[in-house]
Amino acid sequence: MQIPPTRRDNDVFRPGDLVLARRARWRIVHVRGDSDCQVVTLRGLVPPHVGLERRFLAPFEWIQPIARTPRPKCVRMPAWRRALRALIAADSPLGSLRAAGSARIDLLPHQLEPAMAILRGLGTRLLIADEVGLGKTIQAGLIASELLARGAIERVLVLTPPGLRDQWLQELGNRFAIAATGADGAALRRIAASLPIGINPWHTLTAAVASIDYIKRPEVLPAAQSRPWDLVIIDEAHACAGNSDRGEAAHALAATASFVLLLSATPHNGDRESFSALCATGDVEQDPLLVFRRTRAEVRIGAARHVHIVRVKASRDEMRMHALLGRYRDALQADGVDTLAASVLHKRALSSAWSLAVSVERRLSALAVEKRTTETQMALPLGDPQGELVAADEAPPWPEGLGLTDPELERSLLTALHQRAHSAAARETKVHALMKLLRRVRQPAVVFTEYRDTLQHVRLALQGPAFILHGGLTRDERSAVLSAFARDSCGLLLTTDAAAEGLNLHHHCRLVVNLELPWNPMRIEQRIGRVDRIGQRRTVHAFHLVAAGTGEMRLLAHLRARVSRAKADLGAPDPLDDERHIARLVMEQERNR
Amino acid sequence: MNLKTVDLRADAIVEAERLNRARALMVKGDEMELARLEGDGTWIARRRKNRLRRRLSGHMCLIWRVVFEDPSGHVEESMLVPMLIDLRGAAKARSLEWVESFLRQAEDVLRARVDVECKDWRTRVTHLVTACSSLRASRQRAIAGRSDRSRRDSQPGLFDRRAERERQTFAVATAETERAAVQRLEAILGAAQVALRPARLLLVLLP
Repeated sequence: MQIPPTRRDNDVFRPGDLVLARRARWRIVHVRGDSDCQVVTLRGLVPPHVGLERRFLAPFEWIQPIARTPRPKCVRMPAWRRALRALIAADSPLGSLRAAGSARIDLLPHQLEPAMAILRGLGTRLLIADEVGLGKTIQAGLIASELLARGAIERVLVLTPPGLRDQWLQELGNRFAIAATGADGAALRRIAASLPIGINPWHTLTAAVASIDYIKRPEVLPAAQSRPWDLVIIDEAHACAGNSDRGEAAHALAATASFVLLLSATPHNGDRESFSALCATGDVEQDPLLVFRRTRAEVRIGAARHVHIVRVKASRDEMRMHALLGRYRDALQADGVDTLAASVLHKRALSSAWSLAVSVERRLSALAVEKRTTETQMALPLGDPQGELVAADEAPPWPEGLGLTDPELERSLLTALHQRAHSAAARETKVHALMKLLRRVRQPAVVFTEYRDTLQHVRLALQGPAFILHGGLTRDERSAVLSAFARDSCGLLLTTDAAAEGLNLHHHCRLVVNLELPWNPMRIEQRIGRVDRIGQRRTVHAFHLVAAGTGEMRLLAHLRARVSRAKADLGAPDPLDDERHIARLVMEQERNR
Repeated sequence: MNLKTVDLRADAIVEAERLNRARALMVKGDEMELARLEGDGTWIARRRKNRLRRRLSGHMCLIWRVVFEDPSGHVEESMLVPMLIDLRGAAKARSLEWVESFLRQAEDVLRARVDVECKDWRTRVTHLVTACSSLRASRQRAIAGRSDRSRRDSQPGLFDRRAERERQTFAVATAETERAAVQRLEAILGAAQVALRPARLLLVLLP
């Protein structure tokens, strides 16, 4: 074994110095470590290493400082000119960007603003709340790459919804040459296996992208936060705000970071309290939050968007189902039960008759065995060790305390409701409307719904090929579905909100259909934003299928009120606008029949 | 809610144009030459074609670079300073030795001129670095001040040492966090002590 050479005391490595290593000349770019052991990043100055960056471990690698060549040197004019060009191109005025020039992005002025604000010392905590599709990921990548290039930060952590982890890794790597690690259980175990016992694998990561649902776990969070991160980026930050495990984890990590970046196209859902909670993420002592909120109109980028509200006349079975649901609610009210909890049943009924039938069936089964649904075992993440799955689109449990004191009466009401829901599910008018619409448009489309069981039911009812994306798919399965959809020139993607959040589908598709109206206006914007993004060259069409004669019409009016409140607070976009373009495409015939 | 907005739209448009110009200017391989220049001394070239020679009209062109570095040697800001020197009255023989000798003799005068040229820039750099570091330092001080010192109350059992071990682990973690916070604050304050390096003459073009 070769004994590593001892470094002399005067061999202090400084960025900018010239050194000799492996018989070639290099310039020191960066030095990390202490006096005993240092990781020295060098940039090559002579062929074949010119311009390449390599990391050397001193003192195990022999790195010898050399004096700068003092004498001028005569060169040929072409070389001189090339060097001058590179010098001018690399020269950046005060407070301007250095790394953006080499990033693989189109340089759009609005995307440069947040990075410029940080470099000019205008803030350390930013909320980038641009409309969906204006490039928040690119803006975050620009900030990270600028701060890294200037040596202002060393460690970056990106927190994302589980489905966006790979997309972030790709964007950081391909566009900004930031080699980030996807931090999940498997990756951390792999790293830990290569380290001595007792070394925290999180400490070895300089750039990591982690799912918020993985990092929030009580067995993961302490290790992840044991050494502060320099920059914490929280994607879809609205989902991490407030009093939840996600919110607490995001705040714990952000509150010790030098820079915090919150990304959300829909930071305000009309509820001021949750907006305040979002703005407080990473706040230490009432430090200001620098907000960037740009609309498409301001930026003058993006395709035109037409929003079509398609009123679908409910069938007799569906109307009867809603009436029976109303009767059950009245019985609850008469029994003194808080009927607010019953709203989840209305939500299910508006999603699909099938989803209501599933919920009621479960309740009937529970009543049959005389077991309260509340007596359930605590859910453990045993089936999802990597934190890849999302449960938000699963059928919600029966609300606690929702039930009649007379079990016989409840059973009879629910049995009638169940039968009617089943009959209605056999021919759902919205599915029928969707089929008509798809036959007419003959191009790739994304159909959104809130629940996984509605999704499965629609797929069966459509009787045609369709790609399915929901929170129960693993990372690899999701990638396979998205790749297949991108290859299909006439494909149909059925997806839930939870599975499609943050995805880029605009290269392939311009049509979005909402099978039901989500109760949160932010979700509508998130759905349309999957195809209405920078790079979309065609007019985007969004269709909201609204069940006429049901509570969904009132919901539409309510959503409008919430959107206008959010607009007043933050200038949020209106995903329900443009009613002039109400579609006569599909349901005109249906309505006139 | 302490929300703040800034309007950098005009600056961002200028910046995007500058970056686009810089991209258009670069040709593949230019970075290699720059890397070579970084490793060499001053590069001297002689203009032989008539058009540029006429435009230089007997002047020597010098390109200087002035750099602000932080204590660890990281380049904080840099600026190029071009300079034209009238050589029309000087001797005709402009060999490498002649140029070397000329630059040696005139070095003090030339550096003084470079200093004058970048006086405003130096002031602005100092202001900017101070603003950035004071903002970061104030956040870091707040983080250090808020480090979780709350003691976790737990009742140790007679034979169960888990609570005691948990308390010890917590104390170690707290100490580690506090140490890291102090180190980061020191690093931020240290990085604010930027120093102007002597201007470096990179390129010389002879008429």
